[in-house]
Amino acid sequence: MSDRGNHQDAMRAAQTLAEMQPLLRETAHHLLSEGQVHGVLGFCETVTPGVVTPCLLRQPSECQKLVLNTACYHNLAGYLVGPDGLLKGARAERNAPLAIVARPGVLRTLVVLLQEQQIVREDIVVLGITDNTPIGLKPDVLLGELDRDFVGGSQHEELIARLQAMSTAERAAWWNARFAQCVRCYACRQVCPLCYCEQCVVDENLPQWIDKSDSVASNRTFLLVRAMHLMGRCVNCGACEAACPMHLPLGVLTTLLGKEVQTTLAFVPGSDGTQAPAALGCRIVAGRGEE
Amino acid sequence: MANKMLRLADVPALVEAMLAEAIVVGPSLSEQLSDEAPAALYNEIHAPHDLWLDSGRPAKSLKEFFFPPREVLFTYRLSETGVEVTEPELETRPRIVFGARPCDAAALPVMDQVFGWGEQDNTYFYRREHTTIVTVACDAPENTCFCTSLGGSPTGTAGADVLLTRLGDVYHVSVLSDKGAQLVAAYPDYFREASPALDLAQEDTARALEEQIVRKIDPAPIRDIAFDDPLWQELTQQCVDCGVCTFLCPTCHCFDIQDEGNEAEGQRVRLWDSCAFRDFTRMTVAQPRPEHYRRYRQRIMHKFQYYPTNFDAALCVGCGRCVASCPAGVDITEIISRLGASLAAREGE
Amino acid sequence: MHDHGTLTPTVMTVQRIVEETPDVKTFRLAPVDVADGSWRHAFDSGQFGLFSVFGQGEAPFGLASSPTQVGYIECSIKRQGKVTDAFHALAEGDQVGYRGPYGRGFPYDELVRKNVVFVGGGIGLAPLRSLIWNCLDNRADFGDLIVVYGARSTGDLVYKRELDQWLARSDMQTVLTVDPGGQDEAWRGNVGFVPAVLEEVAPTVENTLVVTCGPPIMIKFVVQSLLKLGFAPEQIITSLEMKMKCGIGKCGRCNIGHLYVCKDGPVFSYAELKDLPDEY
Repeated sequence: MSDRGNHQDAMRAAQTLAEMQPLLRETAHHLLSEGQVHGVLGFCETVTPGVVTPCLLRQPSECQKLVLNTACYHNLAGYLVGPDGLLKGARAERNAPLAIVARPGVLRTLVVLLQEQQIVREDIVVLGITDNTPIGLKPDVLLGELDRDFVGGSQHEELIARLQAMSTAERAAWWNARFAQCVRCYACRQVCPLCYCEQCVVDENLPQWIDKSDSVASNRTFLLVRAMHLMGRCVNCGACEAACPMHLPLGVLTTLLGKEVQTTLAFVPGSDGTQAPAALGCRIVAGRGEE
Repeated sequence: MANKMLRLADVPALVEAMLAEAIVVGPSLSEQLSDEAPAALYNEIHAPHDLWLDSGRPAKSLKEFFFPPREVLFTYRLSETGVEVTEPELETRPRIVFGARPCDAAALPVMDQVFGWGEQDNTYFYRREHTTIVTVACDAPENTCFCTSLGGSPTGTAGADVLLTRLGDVYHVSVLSDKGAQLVAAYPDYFREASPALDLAQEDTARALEEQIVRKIDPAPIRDIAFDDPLWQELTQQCVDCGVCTFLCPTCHCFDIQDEGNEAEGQRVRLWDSCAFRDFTRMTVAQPRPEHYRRYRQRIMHKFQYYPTNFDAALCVGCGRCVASCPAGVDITEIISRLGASLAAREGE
Repeated sequence: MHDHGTLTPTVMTVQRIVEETPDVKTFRLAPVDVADGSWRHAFDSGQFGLFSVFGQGEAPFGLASSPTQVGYIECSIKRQGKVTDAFHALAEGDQVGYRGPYGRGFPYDELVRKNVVFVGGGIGLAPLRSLIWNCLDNRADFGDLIVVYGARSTGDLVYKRELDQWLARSDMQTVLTVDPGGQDEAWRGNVGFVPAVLEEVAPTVENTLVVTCGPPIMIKFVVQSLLKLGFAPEQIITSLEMKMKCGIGKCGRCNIGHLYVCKDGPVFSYAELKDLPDEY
């Protein structure tokens, strides 16, 4: 999709994703033929050039359909969790785990989901792609190493600087103009693997915390409540912003909150599997408060 | 009705003249959405330079001007004497949509059926009657467009009062309805006489543009597809149950009604809603569509089987927005092909 | 042209509230500007309306009073969510919203000159009550009238005063039952599930129509019992419940296949229902 080309610009890969595609197909084929996994969650092409779609393959013969390229931005971990999650419920009925293709952002997401006990390590075989950033999960199969993968919000550095130079009133006006565009399709929430709540606060009606209307005030409440609920958990994978049909710069929110958590708590979600989640083990960094 | 000619150079002055008498809506960039990826939207425009006639397909359809995403049905206030219910004043000035895409205009007669059957929806039809629609032919259809499979085309005329087709530095003006004729007659300085040669040129262009729509579907077989076809469960695994396709769709019209306020005062509002949402059909005691595939099936069946059964047309104009904007790459045209193939295979058995 | 919004309700006064069971109340309503008892609302038994508490929202409920009733309408509401909670918090004299009647009601004209069996469960007696009184008010037009009504327990039976009236009448047969375990010491009716009791009553099939309303699971078994007794699908009439917002075939959430429960229903014959997709 042309309007998502910014992902490509952020890619300065030592090895490209496309170069890893043969190894992915070979590995997937092997895992399925050997019965080591019951499915491979990856990406397939669509009839539209440049557009891929997440797919769950179960037959070795299907593995030639798998693709790997910069259009594969969707965070596949989202399909594992939530009410219709692939790893929900029927665990005992399966005799083999599920393989998942994971770029660095997805790897970090898996770390958070493991920490939050939404998935079990033995249930997944991770076909991982790493880069030079800290990742708290060792892939079961390393498909390759990128120089630095796309991180949601990274294209917003200039914008963030501009926003921070604004007065509070100017900044509020800038954001309100964006919040006004939200159509409340909830694509940001639906594609987010960490938005796995069975009952989202925005859907509650007893009491009605947030109006269902797409008014500036309720859109703002929804988007900020969501961002705050992800603070210290969000790995800044960029899926929410990529999904937004109105192109709202949601990555600015996730980046700013991520920076805040990093400065205040010296915590980067998903970067270290042994570290307790931020909200559980608050470590106040000296100089920003008392120990 | 006799066709006319409009010079591109005259458009700003024409729009200026329209703005003096009417609300004008058109594709524009009045509020840049994000610094990286600007997209046109249909907006009320306040000056001719707001208009962006060759913007391509606006991000959202035209439906919000007739069926707003949030419409106040009435306000209520509790007084000494009881509850006072007050309906909002409707805009009385006429409205002109200038530069709509033909697919977005074609969606309006489709929605008219639903808002018109049984008890007619008054505010929807009030807005329809107060609006004149001028479409502009699509110069560069996108690869996701499939309007020609649903009776439309880049120069389609359904739902429009006037169609503009660009031919070099003039627009050929097709006058399509009484409302269109009135509009053209109201601005004689700009809508000039057209020569028969211009009509021929328009026909050539229409044919050429139609050939640019390469994506084709055959929705007819879906009228016979079985509700319990096993393919349904497999087809839409990647759909994430968001509302992108339904909200961007020019024909999706499902809505919610909510009260906003407290016991003393507030509003009852009508809001866009989506069959993709889990809560859409959920009742306290039952949930007819608990699984994800049932919700997606509802959308496809509503468009290509249920609505056609009731109104003998598809609830789709092939604008392609759902294909282009689905965050999970779900492609309605692909789904229709696969369902059609499944049906053909079964009949072949 | 635009006179008033299609979705704008009439403001009604709550004239009377009757507590039927611990979680069901019946509300008697009349328009605020026709409070003198002269209001006539033209509707068919089995039709429904959208009832609202301002600020809390709107929900569909069947009209529970008879069309022959002048001066007011009634609806019976079971407490089970936001809007119903708000109704239960109302006091007599409060004002609420109503719009309707909507949908296709029971086929009254088809019932004329036939035996009619009414089979109800729990709060499902509400729309049947409208029809039963409608038939009783035109008693001479019908053959035998049989009511089979059950609830989980004696405390869950609605319209108790009217049940006594029906039991006392000689021109109809009324059979009451409660689920096993739901009886108390004073209970003189049957103990057993509605379908089983219906099979014992075994109404004559010829020239009879059965109208049933209640929880979906009860309807399912009642239909099986009726088929077993020899009734044809065309002789079985029921009413469906789906989530609705507009009530007039537009908001798009109550459809079963191409039919809209709000517009083409809520009353369907079993002959119609059995051909519909299983999504209700």
